Amino acid sequence: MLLQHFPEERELPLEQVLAGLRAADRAPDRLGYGDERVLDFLDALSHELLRPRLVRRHPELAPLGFFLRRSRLAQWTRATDGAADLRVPRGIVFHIPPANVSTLLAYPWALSMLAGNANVIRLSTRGSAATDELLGVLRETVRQADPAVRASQLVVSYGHDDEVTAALSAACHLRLMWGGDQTIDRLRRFALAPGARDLPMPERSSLCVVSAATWQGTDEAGRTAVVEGFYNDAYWYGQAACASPLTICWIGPDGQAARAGADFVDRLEALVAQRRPQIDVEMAVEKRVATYGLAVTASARSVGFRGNALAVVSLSPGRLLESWCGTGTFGLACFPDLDALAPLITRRHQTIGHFGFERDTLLAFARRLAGRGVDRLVPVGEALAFERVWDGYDLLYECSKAVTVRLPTTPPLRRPAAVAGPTGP
Amino acid sequence: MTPDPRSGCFTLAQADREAVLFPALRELTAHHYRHCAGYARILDATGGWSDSGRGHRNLGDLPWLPVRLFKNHVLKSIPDEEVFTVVTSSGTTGQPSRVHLDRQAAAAQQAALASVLRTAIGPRRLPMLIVDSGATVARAATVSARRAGVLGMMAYGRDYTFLLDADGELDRPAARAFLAAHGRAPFLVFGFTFLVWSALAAFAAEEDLDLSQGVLVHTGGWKKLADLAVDNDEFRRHFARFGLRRIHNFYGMAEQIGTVFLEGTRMPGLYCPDFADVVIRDPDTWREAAVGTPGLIQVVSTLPRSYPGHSLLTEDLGVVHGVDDGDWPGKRFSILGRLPRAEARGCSDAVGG
Amino acid sequence: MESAQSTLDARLQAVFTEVFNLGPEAEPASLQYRDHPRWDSLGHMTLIVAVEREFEVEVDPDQLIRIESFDTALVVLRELGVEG
Repeated sequence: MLLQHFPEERELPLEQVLAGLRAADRAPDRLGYGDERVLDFLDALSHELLRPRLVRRHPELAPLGFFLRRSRLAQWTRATDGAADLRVPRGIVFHIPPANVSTLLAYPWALSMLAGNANVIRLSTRGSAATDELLGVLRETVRQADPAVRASQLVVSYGHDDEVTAALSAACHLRLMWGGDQTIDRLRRFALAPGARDLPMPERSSLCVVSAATWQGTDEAGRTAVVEGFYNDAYWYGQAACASPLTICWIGPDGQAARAGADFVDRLEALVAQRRPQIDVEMAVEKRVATYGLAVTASARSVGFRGNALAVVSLSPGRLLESWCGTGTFGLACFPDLDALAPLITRRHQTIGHFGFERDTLLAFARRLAGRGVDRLVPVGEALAFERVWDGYDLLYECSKAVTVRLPTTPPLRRPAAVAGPTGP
Repeated sequence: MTPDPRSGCFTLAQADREAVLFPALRELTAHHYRHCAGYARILDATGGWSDSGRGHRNLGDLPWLPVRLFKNHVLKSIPDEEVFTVVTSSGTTGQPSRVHLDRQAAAAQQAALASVLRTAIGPRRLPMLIVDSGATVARAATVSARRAGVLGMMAYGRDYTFLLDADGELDRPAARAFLAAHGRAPFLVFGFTFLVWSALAAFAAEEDLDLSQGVLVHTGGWKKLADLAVDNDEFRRHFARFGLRRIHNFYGMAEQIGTVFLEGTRMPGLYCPDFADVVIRDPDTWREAAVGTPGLIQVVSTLPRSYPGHSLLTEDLGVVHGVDDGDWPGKRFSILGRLPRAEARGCSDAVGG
Repeated sequence: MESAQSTLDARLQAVFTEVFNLGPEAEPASLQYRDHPRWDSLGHMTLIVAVEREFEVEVDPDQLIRIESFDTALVVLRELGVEG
């Protein structure tokens, strides 16, 4: 038995889930790519999510509200891709989102819905308060939505039940899965239909780069804004989102980079003291275990604790912090220029938050990396802002297919009647 | 103060204890700093050891390692060729801890454990009722902490009887025979706390056993019993009804093997042997917490010389009830529970298959 | 005729041979705790029980710990007043 959380809360058997999804995929009134009925629903949802009372309670839901604004979504689906004449839904999409980054569940789902798919989302049994809140708003909003929307979208949870995962995998046309390497490996053992495909979002890590010279030339207000943006990038999901920065790279001559880094950390410490992120005892211990471990392996030259909410690790030359070491643990590294950082970048790296670089410099850096890592270079403070393109994939396109519609290619001079409409050969 | 000979290695009042332990632990810190490169890198990186310890004034100042480091890293202060045995911890998840002992350290930890247990049991090996199954100690491919615990304890007993059969069921005839043969003179009962409760407590009540000559030694934590709403008081009260009052819970960990904190029988709580101590730390400030204030337990011991485990921050919460006010001198404390594991709340942590 | 080995030595060798299931070519007198695959912590307890039975002695925990080779076992047995 599965627990259904959307469109309404109830228990239902696996057969009914599968039958519902197949029916939604074949229904005569099924959703299309860029469907108005979906736009209406997502727009209503956007309004609900941006209500001040909700935003105060769960600020992390507000960016989702902005993301779902009708004007932008409609613009995306109106634009046509050069190679395709028409975009159509893929069919049934099975989502296995990350367990605890609550809002991440909604972004790929919304894009897949916008592409017209029937979606089934497997929710973690370990929910968070924000996830519960989000599901409540979703259930409320979908009451007013078109029946075709309600019939084709499903959020379920179930325990470790391979039978369910296998059946949903076999039934879907696209499987979107997030997770650590082991999770992805395990999920891949459940076969897909021959024409279906996987879109894996494996574990990634992120960093940020700051130009020491620009930092030194930035006034108080500017520095404060950068530190606040960084704080949100890092602490919003306990620094454990793939896009949250683990290492801060200072780019510039040694002395200048070190001075700028020290100033940044002092400001961050002051902000942390003011915002007081919740760091419990086990997290404080986790940070000790992780950072002492970095010292054992000589990855860290020094480890400084500024209370339990902020730990600063001076990395040994040639090292970046590659894995989560507990909320508020940052590696510090200095490089003379971006080129010196390039050899340390791997395919694991996802987002670089930046401050103080020109577009051309960043483009040149990305070109040099040539896909060997880093899919996003975004300003500090926007690391967690979900975008249509994520992990290097344009999700709206991945969730849809291109249809070619071509007419006979005949010189217009000989067949002027072609404009009149379809004719036989 | 003249130590009571019956107190074995539980003789030092707190001030005397610190006067002995502090220089010894400072020397050990210096020793491991010289002989364990990973340990030295930690102290260098964290600034925990300045000027060879001259900046350190008392026990609470000395650097500590989180106990879980021994799961993730090999930390030892002896060359590979001198490793005599590697002790591995239990732990339900992930990798076990690995603690490296040379011959000398292995002997020292056994002697220390013996000196503690002598305090509870007396100088002679007693007939022993083992609240476990003989199958647990049978030679097996896997090293289980439970097997190691039972085998280690068997050194203090003789004429062994296992209370459980191979299927884990109570072996009533064996238990009756044991009590008939040995029940009128001191005997030893050993088992893991949860098994002692689930197997022996009910059996004692059913048959109204006379356990008045018994010494019960048990270990393993209260988590499972807490689920049954059984705490140490209830545990002791239950067995007292059958005359069993010499009950000693003990607290120790693989990462500080040989160091065991022993429960007293009159004033409740765990007591520290002369070569060890506990420091309760406030997890916000990391300073020593006052008597009566709960915090994380740091355990210090002069035993670990072959690996840097002489000062460890555990993941157990505890509280000191009193100092120099109980069955034995020194701190009197209890364990309040285990910290949960911190969870990564990130997208790396998906729902799974 | 008295052999070159003392009786104590020979009896202890027999105990070792039986407890650790040694072949005819093995030399019990060269055995060390944990160096022989069967002399692990379980083997140790088996050995102690067998020694106690054979020599009718009671080994206390300190002595039990000190026995970590054939030679140290001999020393402990002499402490316990076993002659030969």
